[in-house]
Amino acid sequence: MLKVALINGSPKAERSNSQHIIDELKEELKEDCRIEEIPMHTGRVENPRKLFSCSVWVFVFPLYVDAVPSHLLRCLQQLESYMALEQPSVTVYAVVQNGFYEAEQNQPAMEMMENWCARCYLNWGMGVGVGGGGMLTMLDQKHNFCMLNIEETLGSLAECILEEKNAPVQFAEPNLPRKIYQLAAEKSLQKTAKANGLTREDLRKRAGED
Amino acid sequence: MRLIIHDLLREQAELFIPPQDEETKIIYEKGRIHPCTGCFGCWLQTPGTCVMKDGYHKMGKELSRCDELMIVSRCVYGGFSPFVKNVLDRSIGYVLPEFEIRNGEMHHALRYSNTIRMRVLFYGSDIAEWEKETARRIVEANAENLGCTVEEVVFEMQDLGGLPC
Repeated sequence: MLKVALINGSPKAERSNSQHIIDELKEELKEDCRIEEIPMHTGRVENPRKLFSCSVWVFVFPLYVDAVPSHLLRCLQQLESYMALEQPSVTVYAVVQNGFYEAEQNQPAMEMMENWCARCYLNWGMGVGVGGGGMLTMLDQKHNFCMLNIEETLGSLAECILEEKNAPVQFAEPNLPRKIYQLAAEKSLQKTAKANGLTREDLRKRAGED
Repeated sequence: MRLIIHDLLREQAELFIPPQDEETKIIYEKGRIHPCTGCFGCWLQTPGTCVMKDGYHKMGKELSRCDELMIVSRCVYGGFSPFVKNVLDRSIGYVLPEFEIRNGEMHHALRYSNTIRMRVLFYGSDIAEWEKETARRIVEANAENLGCTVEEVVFEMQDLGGLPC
């Protein structure tokens, strides 16, 4: 039976937006393959044996400053060094999600993952860029109208995974206008700031201002 | 002010990096840098400053003071090395949590009004053409997100002796 590693590359691990994507993929895949969930939030690959026992690796992580987060980059380098000793036959997929609206902003991070595969002689499966990361908790509500585009794209990814197939990059955004997403995301940020005792003006402070 | 972020070991840095003076601030590895945990504390708890006080927590302030940013980094899979990327990940307090649309895309609004000219030197003995393409794209995206202009992106095809991977 196909063994798939679902790798959460968020530093927030199980409390992350990336975990909602992993949960969605788990639902899509669970009947047809064996799944290993592997967190990579510490900057070290804690259990490489478990990872190397899988023939498909699916990295799911947030976009940090237009690229792969630094802790995950350290893990990729660690894995590259292992592969100098043991060359696995693995197909790699990557799902990159960001807090902006446009899924295309994930393109450079997906390219880095593809470049890493080339360096490690791994088979690159496909990349999926997801925008509107602030709404990914809504993936837990099955078939929520706002999440239909993302659900569908993750479904296509799951099909590719099960066949270990290569496919062109896909992008998916929430099914609502960008302005509405922007307003909702900012409202959520202001709610957290208020809970921290900060006003909107406080958030805009510059260095040196009291 | 000029801000230089690099990943070179001390002996190599002395060859390639100008000395620190009142016009130049240099960020290099001096003690362990904590990875960004995505807590948004630099936006929503202590605006502009990271909540992890490890010596790299004032990157937003450092960027606000500079008009030239020079980055020297090993090219890793078409991006920055883990140390340099870690510094950049810890720099997001330079921008605001709220969004604005710039050049047709959503980005974080800018906290400061300084304009930074960005110069990047990627090094490595075997940087592939496809990695150079990704690296140029990443620098352009960084400039867009941080409100910088890209002055140059240069590839030095030799190992300048950076931090161990």
